[in-house]
Amino acid sequence: METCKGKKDEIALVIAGVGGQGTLLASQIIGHAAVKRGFSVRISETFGMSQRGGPVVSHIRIAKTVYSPLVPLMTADLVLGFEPLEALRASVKFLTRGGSVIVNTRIVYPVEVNRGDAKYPPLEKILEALRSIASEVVTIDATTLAIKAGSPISTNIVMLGALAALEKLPFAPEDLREAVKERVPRDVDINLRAFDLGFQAIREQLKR
Amino acid sequence: MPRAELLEDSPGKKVLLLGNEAFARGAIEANVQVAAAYPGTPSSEIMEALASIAEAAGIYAEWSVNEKVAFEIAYAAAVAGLRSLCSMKHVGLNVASDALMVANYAGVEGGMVIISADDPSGHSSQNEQDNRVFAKFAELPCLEPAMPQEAKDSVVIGCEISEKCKLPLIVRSLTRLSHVRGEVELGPIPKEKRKPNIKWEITYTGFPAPDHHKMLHDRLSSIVEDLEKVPLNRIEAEGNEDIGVVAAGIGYNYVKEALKLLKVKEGSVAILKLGVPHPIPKNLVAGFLKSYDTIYVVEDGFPFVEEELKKICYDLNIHPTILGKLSGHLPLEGEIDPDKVAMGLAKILGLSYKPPEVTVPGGIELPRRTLSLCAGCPHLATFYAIKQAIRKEMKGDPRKFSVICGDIGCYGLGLFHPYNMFHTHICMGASIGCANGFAQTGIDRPVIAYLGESTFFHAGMPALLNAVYNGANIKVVVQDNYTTAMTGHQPSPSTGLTAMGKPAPRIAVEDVAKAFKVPFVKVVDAYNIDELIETIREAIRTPGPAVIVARRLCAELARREARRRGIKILPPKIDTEKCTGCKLCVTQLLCPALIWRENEKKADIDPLLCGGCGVCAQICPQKAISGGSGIGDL
Repeated sequence: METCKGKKDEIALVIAGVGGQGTLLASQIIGHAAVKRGFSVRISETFGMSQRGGPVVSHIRIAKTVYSPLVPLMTADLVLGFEPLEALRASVKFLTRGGSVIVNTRIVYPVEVNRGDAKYPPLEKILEALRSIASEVVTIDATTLAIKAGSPISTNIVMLGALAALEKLPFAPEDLREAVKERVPRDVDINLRAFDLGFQAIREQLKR
Repeated sequence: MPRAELLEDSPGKKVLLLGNEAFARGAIEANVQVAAAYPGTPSSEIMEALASIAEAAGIYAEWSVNEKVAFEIAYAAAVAGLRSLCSMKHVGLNVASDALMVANYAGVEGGMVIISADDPSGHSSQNEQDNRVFAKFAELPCLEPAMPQEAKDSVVIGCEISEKCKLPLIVRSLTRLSHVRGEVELGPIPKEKRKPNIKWEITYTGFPAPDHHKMLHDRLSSIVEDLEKVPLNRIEAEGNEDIGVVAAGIGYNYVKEALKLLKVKEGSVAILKLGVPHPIPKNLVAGFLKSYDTIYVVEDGFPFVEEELKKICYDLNIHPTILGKLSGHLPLEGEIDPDKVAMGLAKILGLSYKPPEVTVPGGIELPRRTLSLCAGCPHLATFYAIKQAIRKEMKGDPRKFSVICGDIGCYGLGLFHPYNMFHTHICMGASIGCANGFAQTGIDRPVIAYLGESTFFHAGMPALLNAVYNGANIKVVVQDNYTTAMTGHQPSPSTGLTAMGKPAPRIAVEDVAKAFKVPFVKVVDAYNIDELIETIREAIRTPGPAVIVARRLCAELARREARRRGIKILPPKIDTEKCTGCKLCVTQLLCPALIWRENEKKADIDPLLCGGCGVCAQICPQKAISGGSGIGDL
């Protein structure tokens, strides 16, 4: 196990999004990078009923030795939210109070809202709620950046770039970038561009 | 997805594998040469992974028409001296159980492993059955791995044990193993393949039953010592408390986590990690039971080990307090997790532990996000047509003026609000079976069975034949989308491709129905709403069994196909002048791409979700929706 200097040697994170957003691939890439660095990893994926449109949550544990694939309530160091409502839903349940949240601000409306049976809370309210439980909330329009990189499908890779920029993982940003290359052999250029755009966006936000 | 790691011959290398991929890798390391399965969450990726590398590995892998056939294929291969594997979800073993309950008597020559994946909490299932009970019922050895590494190892160990005692062996998986990724250290891949060899002097049968039953008992007894020594079992720490924890299968992971949550020092509580739930390794367990006043049993599913331990204590005449699911220290329903295990353990250790209360800050109400059928899904169109046909024909609410029996697949969502389609939803093929029964009660409503083609081939066919022979007045609607969509688009007999990607003859539902002498058989494009409604009405008016095949490629696959063929997906336009805000499209078709704009009181279309099937344009009473292109043009 090679821990980078000044980093914690373990992390529990939760990725939350909506079916079809590529959250599962994102969690695999993180896991792959961790195993290559010699860490023990557990990732638990809820596939929902394999259809699109439901909430999808991945629990990721990285440490010297990991046992439980599930993150206990309110113990996740970080929530990587691919969608604002799902970011809040997962953070409320799993984020340790004072943890970090990265949110893709692109909203995906649930069918209940589309049908007019329920209301989607205003984005500002969601962010406000997140800020009240997290010490750090960074926002990113990952979908727009992915389109800029060459394909909206790369939204998940933009989110990985954003995650790397926050430097909470027990390995270097370059390790994660390398894992993107190894794990997604198709459209490497687009994906690396997506990764870099996500990385830069968060770095600039942190500088401010 | 073919995965290089699954065939990589680099023993000692650590790779990240999904539990189900680890099972597949285990099959390669165990020299399994024949593998068969029917898809079912959470087991499907085992065969997906194996099939993707089968040709390169020089082995045979197939998606069978159902679990019973899959079991029999693996069984026969094992009788022929090869090592074999079949995999299925927990309820799949119910289907295969008829064969299981005699294959145990008849025995095998080569090692045979049955991977059965339970689904506590029913994430994707209709029940929470615990298939360790099947191991006991069939009197067969069972292994219970805890993590992806052990998933791989259990197939190798399982094949060896099965071959040694000449009995099939059950490996119990669960959602939180099958769908967990973790590091796995690869083992060596055997180079030599076996040749099939069928012994002329033996007939594999259960007859005569008492003799073969005794043979089963002898074979199971012969392996007890080996099962004691399986590396999936181990005692960790003697502990300095008078309590010992027995952690079965994945329960082990949660015990380790719970100790951390409770800040209990590593090693201060004794743990027996148990990887063999049946037959329980009595010597190992006896020593442990004798050493502690209190035993906490942590297992997911039924209180299976808990009850077995109580029996052993009776035989040993010892009386430790055994706590677990039966004592309320863990719930009897729903899957266990680190917090639940910690609560039980805290109670026993006299510590206080309360999982934090989850409340949404700022009192925001979070709208639910229920699963929905996809935009453009042909099931949505078919649901709509059935409801409209009944409304028109019976002049009333479909729930009150018809009986609709549902089945297993994506369309199982029809059970829930807002679809509210089904009166029954039981198991694979039960739509037609139950419809037979409702029809024979003499009820004066149309009786409809609704299912997909993969389910029809799996278990619907005998019930259809039954309807014809016994004259049940039922209307069977089969939505043929050319795939087993729910579990991730595995081929069905309607696809025309095998698991290993070889072309196969496409079997048409209507050909089967005609061969069964169903008097009314019609095939309709599921996207042709008017024709579909009229055909269903005609079937309702025509006495006797009827089959309507509503055919359309799964919308997910159709999107890929449209992309491949260069068909542009352009959503139709809604003319806001013409739209009167009647909400028929948003409340009745229930396509997720249809949006209700509350401020404007008009319908709208989400351009990202819409696949361009054109169904909404057909149903709008104001003809306000028009144009567009996409999957409807395939």
